[in-house]
Amino acid sequence: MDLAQQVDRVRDLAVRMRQAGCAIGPSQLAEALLAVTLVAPDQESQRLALRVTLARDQRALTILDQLFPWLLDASAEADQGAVLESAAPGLGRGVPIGHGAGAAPGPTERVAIPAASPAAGVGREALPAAAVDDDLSQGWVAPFLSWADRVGGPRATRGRRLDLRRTLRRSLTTGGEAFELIWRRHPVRRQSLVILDGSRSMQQWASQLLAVGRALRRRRPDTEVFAFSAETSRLSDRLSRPGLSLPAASWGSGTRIAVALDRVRAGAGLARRSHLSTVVVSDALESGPAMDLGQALARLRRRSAVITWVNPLADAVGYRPLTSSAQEASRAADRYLGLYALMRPQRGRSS
Amino acid sequence: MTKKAAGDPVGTVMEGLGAAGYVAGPQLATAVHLALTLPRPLLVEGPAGVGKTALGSALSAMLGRRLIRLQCFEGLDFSQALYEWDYARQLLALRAAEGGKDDPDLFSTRFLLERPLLSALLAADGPVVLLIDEIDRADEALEALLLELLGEGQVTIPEIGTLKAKAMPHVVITSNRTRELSDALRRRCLYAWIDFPTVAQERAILAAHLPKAGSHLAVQVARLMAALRQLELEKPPGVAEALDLTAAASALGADRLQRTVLEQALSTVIKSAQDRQLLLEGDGQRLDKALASAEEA
Repeated sequence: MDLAQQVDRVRDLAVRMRQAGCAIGPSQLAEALLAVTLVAPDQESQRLALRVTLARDQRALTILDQLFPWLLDASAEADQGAVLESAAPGLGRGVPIGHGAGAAPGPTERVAIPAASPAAGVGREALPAAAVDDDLSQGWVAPFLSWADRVGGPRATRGRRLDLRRTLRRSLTTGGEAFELIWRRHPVRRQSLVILDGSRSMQQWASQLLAVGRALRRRRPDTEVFAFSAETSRLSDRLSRPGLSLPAASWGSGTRIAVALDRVRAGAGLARRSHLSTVVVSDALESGPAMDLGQALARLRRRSAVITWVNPLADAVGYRPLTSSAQEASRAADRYLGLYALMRPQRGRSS
Repeated sequence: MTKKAAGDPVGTVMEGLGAAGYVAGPQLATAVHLALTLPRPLLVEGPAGVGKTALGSALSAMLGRRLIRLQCFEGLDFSQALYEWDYARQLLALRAAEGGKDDPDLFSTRFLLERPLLSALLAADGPVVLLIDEIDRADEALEALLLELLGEGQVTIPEIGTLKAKAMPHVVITSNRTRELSDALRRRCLYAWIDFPTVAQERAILAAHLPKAGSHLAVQVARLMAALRQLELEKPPGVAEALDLTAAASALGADRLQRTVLEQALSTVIKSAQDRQLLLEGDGQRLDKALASAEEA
């Protein structure tokens, strides 16, 4: 393969990665082209060089690994069957790239890659079908978090330190005498807390609920995700595992949402937190006294700068919170909306 | 290094890092090689305790260059990271000049206090290795501050103008992904992901750092770590924990891991009460299972 062909292949790969949602700028592409000339010509070295230069996060690494066999196929096709030097046995088309010693593994799940459009001019053949990844449909997250940060009031601050620069500049107005000391405070980053209701009545939306948690955690990895039914469990570190389901109670005796909220609030690592951006996803069908739910929410409010209550039932046309527990929830929350309404910004764009 | 690079540059980097006590796989060595050759900052991500920070030190040792480290934290600002005016000296200079003819230039490099980023940029002893550690802990504003330095190798100080790097430092940025970094920062860096090492790699790391520990113990610890990382632990053990456990077992006079030794040294591996409870509940069944998998040939 001559240099011109190699340039074409790498450029095509970058185009495919862009189509899959990776932001690859011209300078990155130029770096990649340079990088492949700086390493050995075998497949594995080329792949590693492209991983370093074209990918900027784990997801991009996964996409590149999925596309690399396609790149090799295209190369082989262009070379009319020329055998490339290979240091990566099993690196065939459709075979997931082995993450052996030293290779960055990235996430294990495959990422959806759209088929190249004919207009792109790079679609030599269709890519392997990939499962739909709900993390791709997270366009609602940024506007949602932006709203939550905005309405939550000013961010909390901690500590204070003399701002010498501003003090000195202020003192210039008084002939060099520092009459007024100016202090600065450091803002504390706001952490998101997602509480998912896994009761039987919510199981029909289980996958969407988990998608909400995943999407928020992808955007802000310090997001804590909890689920409750009969028991409360922390899902934060397990969200990306395949086959994860919401913990469901094996009987339908109702859910004590208030108790669950208290458990989460007192849960590990949250006791000392404050100014959280809290999202509760539940149908608000409290089996205990509604007043308890109101009190639990008031306690949660002390830790939260903003509370969003997402009720899938609220997506129904003409829905109004008529039950006393739903009324308590809507009263305590800064925003009370349906699951569909939460994700509407993204849906609007895609339609 | 440049002369050797004509042959197998990636292998040379692996050897160089190895000589500095850092076991790197081909992926990381390729990233380091390209970061040095292109030259570009290297953004390293991965779980805690896999050797991201150690890479900076190893690179410094490999290149024989000074290491300047900026440890990031919430609230870190430009006056702690880049430069600060020496206000006390400025005030003294003002007082000294009172009544005199000289008008002191208060905003000259004479009154500039160099912080790690500026020190790295203006280092007189050639390019240094600049380690910006755990950048995800710092605020977004610091990322914006870094863009000019990483992209152009310069910083602009409003009162003075632009200061260009005498020699562009080799920059290693680490992140534990507690928050998403900006695209602008990522675009300016090469990217490497370091995951937990394989059993063979971990064994090599243990042998490199603790040559006195028995090889059987090292293999056992490496396998045990692999088994523990499969569990749903809140804080999966990293390489540092493997080193600590091996050192602890050696200090306890054990040449192989047994349940009693492991229980005594468990605090070197397990760093949270929940994880400890998870391992020891049910008479330590999970611990026994992990230990059994460490014994398997």
